[in-house]
Amino acid sequence: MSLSNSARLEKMITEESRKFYFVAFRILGDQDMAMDAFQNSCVNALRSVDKFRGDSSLSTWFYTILINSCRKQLSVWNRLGRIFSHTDLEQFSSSEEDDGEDAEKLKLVMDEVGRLSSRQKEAMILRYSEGLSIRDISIVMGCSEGTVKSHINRGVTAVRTRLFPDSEESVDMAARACDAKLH
Amino acid sequence: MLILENEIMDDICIKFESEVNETGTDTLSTELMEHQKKCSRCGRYFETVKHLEEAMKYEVPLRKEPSEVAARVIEMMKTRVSINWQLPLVSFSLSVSILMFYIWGVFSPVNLVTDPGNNNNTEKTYLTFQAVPVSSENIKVPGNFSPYKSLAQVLKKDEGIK
Repeated sequence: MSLSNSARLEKMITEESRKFYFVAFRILGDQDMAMDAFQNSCVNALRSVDKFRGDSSLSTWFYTILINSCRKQLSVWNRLGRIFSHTDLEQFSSSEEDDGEDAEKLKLVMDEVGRLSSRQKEAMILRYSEGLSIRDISIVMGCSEGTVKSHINRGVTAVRTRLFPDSEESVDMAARACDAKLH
Repeated sequence: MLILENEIMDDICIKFESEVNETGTDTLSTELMEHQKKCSRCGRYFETVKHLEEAMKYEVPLRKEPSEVAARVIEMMKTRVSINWQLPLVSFSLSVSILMFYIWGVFSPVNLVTDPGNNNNTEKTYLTFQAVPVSSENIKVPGNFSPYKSLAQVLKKDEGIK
């Protein structure tokens, strides 16, 4: 016997609460704000589960509500630009002492992601953290698939420029010309 | 020739970036994996996405367990739903009670009647029996009976009013 949408939703938000919470945390960069956003999303989802028509999966529908909650939190607190607090980064760095270079690179990545626009951040988090398809991300973010691809591409390019400061487009072109000559 | 090769490389690079963005780094085709080893631009793109995937898996120690919050919300919503069911029942019961009280008030055997006096300066308030009590059916009340007369007699006795 299949479960009702309400029962499925309850099961999902209980079992996958950690996953949803961390999406909010990565967008907002603050544990308390993330918990508020997650809690609000649960309330809103449970209240409006009757309106779920099954056009997308239940988790995609919940991500939409979660992302909207995060956007509301951001507009209220006006804390755009933060993805991880410095304390969190220090905690992370100290736990990765064995491989200092990698930790340093990850720190750079997090710092750069924190500087991206909120839309780019959302697209990248849903893609690389949650593994959502471009189509699902476009549903969650309420924009076209092309826009999602553009957000992700610009985000990755910004992070790449930070990780590899010498990888300017001209340098790349020269490298490619060399590669072409070699092969 | 070199320009043509560059254009072909550009096409592969665009395809590579699109593929990495859509499927991630784990499920790339052999052709594109070979390409990223040869092309420095795509190699760096690939490495950046790898770092991003790793960074996105990073979890901080939690102050509060999200599953507890979720369970509390579910419980709260269930209570609210049951309250929503109870509210109409409670309001219906209240309405019926008020109606019953009103009906009882209108058709009750005892009423207080206020009658303006003859010269409008005095008021008489007295009890009227709309229904004769069952146990007093055989009692005959004299036509000139007044409760005020009886009261005056009692007062005269008690206080010695002459």
